[in-house]
Amino acid sequence: MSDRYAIAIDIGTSGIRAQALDLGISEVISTAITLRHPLPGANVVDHLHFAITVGRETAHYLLIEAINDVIKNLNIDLRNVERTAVCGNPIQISLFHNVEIRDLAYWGEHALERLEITQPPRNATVTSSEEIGLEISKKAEIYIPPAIKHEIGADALAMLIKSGVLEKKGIYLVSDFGTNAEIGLVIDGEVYSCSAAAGPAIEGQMIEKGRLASPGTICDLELTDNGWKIRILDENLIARDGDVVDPSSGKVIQSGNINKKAIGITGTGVIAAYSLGLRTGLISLPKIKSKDHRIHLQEDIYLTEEDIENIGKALGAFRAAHLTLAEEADIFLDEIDSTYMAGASGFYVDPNKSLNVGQIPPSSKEIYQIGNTSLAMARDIVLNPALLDDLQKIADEMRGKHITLATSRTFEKIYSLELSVSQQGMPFWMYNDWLARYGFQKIPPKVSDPNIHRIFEKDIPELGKYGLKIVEIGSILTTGFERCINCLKCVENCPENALTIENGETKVRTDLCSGMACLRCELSCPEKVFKYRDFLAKKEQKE
Amino acid sequence: MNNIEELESKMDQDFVAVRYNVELEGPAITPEKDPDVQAILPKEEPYRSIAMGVLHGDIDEALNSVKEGLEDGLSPMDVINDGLMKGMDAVNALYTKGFFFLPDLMLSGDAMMEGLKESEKVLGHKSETKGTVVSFVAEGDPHDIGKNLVVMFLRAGGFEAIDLGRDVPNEEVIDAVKEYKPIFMTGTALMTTTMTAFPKIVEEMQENGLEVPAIGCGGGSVRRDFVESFPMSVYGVEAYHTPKLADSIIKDKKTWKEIRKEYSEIVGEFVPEYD
Amino acid sequence: MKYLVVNHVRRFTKMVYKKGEEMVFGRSKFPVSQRWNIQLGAGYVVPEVKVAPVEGSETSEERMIAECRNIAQSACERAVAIGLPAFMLEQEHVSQQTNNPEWAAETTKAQVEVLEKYYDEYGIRVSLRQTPADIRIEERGPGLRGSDYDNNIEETMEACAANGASDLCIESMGGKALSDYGISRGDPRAILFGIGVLGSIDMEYMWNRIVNICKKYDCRPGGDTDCAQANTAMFMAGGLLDKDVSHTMAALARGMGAARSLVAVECGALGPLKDCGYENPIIKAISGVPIAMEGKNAVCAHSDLMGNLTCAVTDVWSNESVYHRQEMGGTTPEVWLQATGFESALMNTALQTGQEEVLRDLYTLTDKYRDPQALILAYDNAHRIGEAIVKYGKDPYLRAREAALEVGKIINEAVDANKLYLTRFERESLDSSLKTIENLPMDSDQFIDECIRAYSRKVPEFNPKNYELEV
Repeated sequence: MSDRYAIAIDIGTSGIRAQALDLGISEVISTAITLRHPLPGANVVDHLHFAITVGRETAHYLLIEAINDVIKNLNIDLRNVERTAVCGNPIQISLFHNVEIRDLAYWGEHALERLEITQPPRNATVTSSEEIGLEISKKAEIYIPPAIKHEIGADALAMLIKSGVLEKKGIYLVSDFGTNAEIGLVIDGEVYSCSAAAGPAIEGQMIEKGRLASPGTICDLELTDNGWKIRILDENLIARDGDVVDPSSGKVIQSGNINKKAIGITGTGVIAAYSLGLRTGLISLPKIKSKDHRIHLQEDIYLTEEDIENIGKALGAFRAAHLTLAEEADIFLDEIDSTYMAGASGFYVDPNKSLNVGQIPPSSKEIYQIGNTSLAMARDIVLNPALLDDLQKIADEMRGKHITLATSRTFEKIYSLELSVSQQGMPFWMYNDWLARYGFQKIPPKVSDPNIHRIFEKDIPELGKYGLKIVEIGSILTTGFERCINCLKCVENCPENALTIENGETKVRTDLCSGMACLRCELSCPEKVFKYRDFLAKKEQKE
Repeated sequence: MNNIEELESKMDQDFVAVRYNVELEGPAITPEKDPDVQAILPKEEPYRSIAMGVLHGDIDEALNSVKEGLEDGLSPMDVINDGLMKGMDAVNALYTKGFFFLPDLMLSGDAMMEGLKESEKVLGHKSETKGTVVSFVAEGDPHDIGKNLVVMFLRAGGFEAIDLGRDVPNEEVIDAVKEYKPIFMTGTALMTTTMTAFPKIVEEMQENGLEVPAIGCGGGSVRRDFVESFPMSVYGVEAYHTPKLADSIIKDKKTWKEIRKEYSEIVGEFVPEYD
Repeated sequence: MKYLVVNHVRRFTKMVYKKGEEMVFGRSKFPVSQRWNIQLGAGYVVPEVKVAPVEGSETSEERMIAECRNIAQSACERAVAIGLPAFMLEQEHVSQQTNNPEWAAETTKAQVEVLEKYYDEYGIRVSLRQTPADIRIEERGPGLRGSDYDNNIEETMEACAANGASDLCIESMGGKALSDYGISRGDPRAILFGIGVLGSIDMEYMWNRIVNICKKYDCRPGGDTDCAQANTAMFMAGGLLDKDVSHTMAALARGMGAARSLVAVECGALGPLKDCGYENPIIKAISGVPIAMEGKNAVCAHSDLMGNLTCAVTDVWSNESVYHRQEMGGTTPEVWLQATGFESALMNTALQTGQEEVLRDLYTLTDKYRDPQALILAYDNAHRIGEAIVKYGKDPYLRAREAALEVGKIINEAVDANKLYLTRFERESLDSSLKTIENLPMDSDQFIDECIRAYSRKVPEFNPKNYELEV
């Protein structure tokens, strides 16, 4: 083993993943991840909103502080790190790089003009650890890959490159699922891309019992002869068999290996419930056909009709996005040769269920689950820094078209059909009829037996000889509010237990806090003295 | 009559074979044969054709009938009230029954608007509506599907909806309030970064001494507690609730405070967000 | 015409039956005589039984021969035990039988031996129908024509005829790739192209050869069925509550299927047309040949919505197919021959006592308004579709198109008369399909050109060369 190291970092919405590589033997030696993002909020727009409200510097500081915590757990001497590469969506990368982010927060010219915002170039950049604030060797170079355009970030570039579809003849669909799904339709190397605002339901949020993937959450369901078998994530985030239950009553029919109480259901779990519900007829949109109109998975874990509507709308965004892309690119969805599912959600979801609920086109014959491509690309860059120039070249030369769904009339028409399905129960034959009336292609029939290629066992294939370390972030902001009567309404109303008040000091765990999309603390203050943005003015400290 | 016809006339079909699919879903009938629609549709021409054009969501059919009617000297107000609006009432009836869906509504709304414009050309001014509502999407936000639905439901409900579009600067909203003096206003946003425009608009209105009975705010990540953290506002849950809220302001003089309390009753259904 | 060459066959341009009500079960205009003193469509209905060899018997020639012999033996025993005056045994080949012509020769020989013994001993009139499997694979070179599979079918046909089969049938599958595509996507143009054009072209290729083989032996060319296409639509349409394929769309496919299956007769097939051709009443109305049908006594094989109606004008009454196994009442050849045998006895009693038209009408009325697919096959409507077909009889495309339009007309008339109600799904599917079909060109070359362009890319299995449609 040599003593020259590199670090690859992927900054995702739901956490940071870092790997140490030994440059002598070009191998991964350790992996450290967080299960949360240090900035408050459940999705990238929340992070952005927070950063805009508190100021870029504070957000950058919180992020870098968390990354420093993560890399300290990599089991290497950080003084010997020569290179570090990072990958993620434009918002995360900009927060990391500490460049303008406000251009990503608003659409259209009005807000940008009023705020006098100019868009940064977001090209491939080499910078230093001092510049960024990483606590590694001062001489270390930091590689930041380019965004292709304003709308397509380095994460999308990674997914396109790592799937290998840019150089191939044929038609390919590549998606990275998340709150905001990046979707690329590649036709003989030409990229049609869009970003589908699926909404947080896809990650288990805005679902009454929903949770981000973490130990003790229901992540999948399986149809058995006598009920639904629940699958629960264990401490190492491996899915284990839980009880078999009758979903209409919650009665346990058969006890499983894990029979301790689940703490919630993940996005993939919700998709599984939606898929099985539709298949078995328990869901007849927009209704759940059980006595209390709920799907019961465990004593206190259930889905409501509101949840079903939310997940239906989120999945509808995928189907409408696929149809819109296909119409824009003038192909039929069943002409797609292979479908690639990138990212952790795209890795752990059962593709058959994705197919069933429209998360990927029903005609997907060849499905590849390619895992975390952002981290993979960061690894490639640190092993071969010259790649950064190549990436810039690819980004500059990429042919294609980005379709802004929010302003696409095709998308609007198709999404109105999706709303009809999830809110009014429009049957699919009628959906297809409407597509035909609009002059669009129909939804292709479902393939019965797709070939699923799952090349790795985990979304991060190689953890290294020191294995995986899960790092608790625990970043804290502290403030005190004048005229606070200490009624603790804010603490009671915090859905994530992120808030404490002791001796007049109010502390918030930023990684737990839901941030600007929540603000239940501020909104519930009877004295109107709680001001969330006050956290920012105060000095940050760490527990 | 040959033998089989004679035999057939003696038999009750359902005694032998029941088409359960038809029993379950009801037979396919053209929209105009629905009993509720029949009760709404005008009997005499050309009002009937105009209303049917709207019912079928057929712009050409509606527009041609409107033009013919106007050329024959009908009053534009009669064309609007006894033709176009009746068609829209029929569409609403079928939508409420679950027979029509959003896209039906959108097409019919378009047909109605075309007919309306044609009538107003002859009328020489805007026709009288129940009231004027201003609708906008917050500055910096391009997502206007929700707003488009709101506008469509308002128009279908007999209101004049002033559509300010997407990415609307706050000053433009204020100017519209000054110009149109709306009885109701709707603001939508999908992004949490842009929904902060709503309290700012209210603040600026108050500074300018402006007031509307209520501002319905909704869309994407907008939540009730956020909306209720500033005055003059009401959290709107579904696009189709909008005309009912506007009706309550016109008919029952409801204020934003009352609407917040009585939302479920006003829209006539159980709304979990207001539970 | 550029594509649809008509030299080889005479096309029907007139109806043999002038009126629908002239048709009745057990009687056809052109009865068929076969060896063993049996006549089909000659005033009595013949029950048919068909049993699929048990799984495992295909592993060796000896087992297959024993299996086929046992099936024949069981059927004969029961026929005699319950007093049937006549019956037909059909053997539908498993692929191994057709792929090995020598097996087919031996299995036919074994069944002939058994039947002949019973004919000699009891004077029971018997018929042995051999139906080789259409084992061709469209997408595998050299495709439908001249492949080893194709050659094996021909050799097997000859082996069966030479070894004593009474008649030969096949369920040919030309055009299936296209019709499957169209059925699953609700694309009536693709269905029409698959059934009406490609199916018809392929049948001509297939049936000219079968007829030539039969001429050499005491063996009759029987008939074909649109099992691969119109029945696929029917099965996918499923029961009343299923929604994958609309029942009105399936009815349209059936109408087209009649125009296609007629080609066998035009090439010289004499009937009885093959049992699972639900379109057969239409072809009987056009051509006067006897037909085999299935319905309520084929529930062992599949479900349909016209179990009685299909009896109305049939000449042979079949159980379609069942696995060779033991039931409580005996082995399946025994049980199901008894089922079709007693139904035929009822029809024959009606024929003897002059009540055949009443029974025919009762059969018809039980199902006529159960489903649009049943409605169009009621004998009066079947005759109307026949008239639509012969109106454009010389052009396989146009007559299939016209058949579909007539199907639409028949359904709409029944709906307007409040005799049949449709769901919105059925209604809208019918309306949009008819609109599509009405807008198709009246020129077959143009239609074929358009379809080759549109579907060559979308349906990779489709190769115009398989149908001698050179681009």
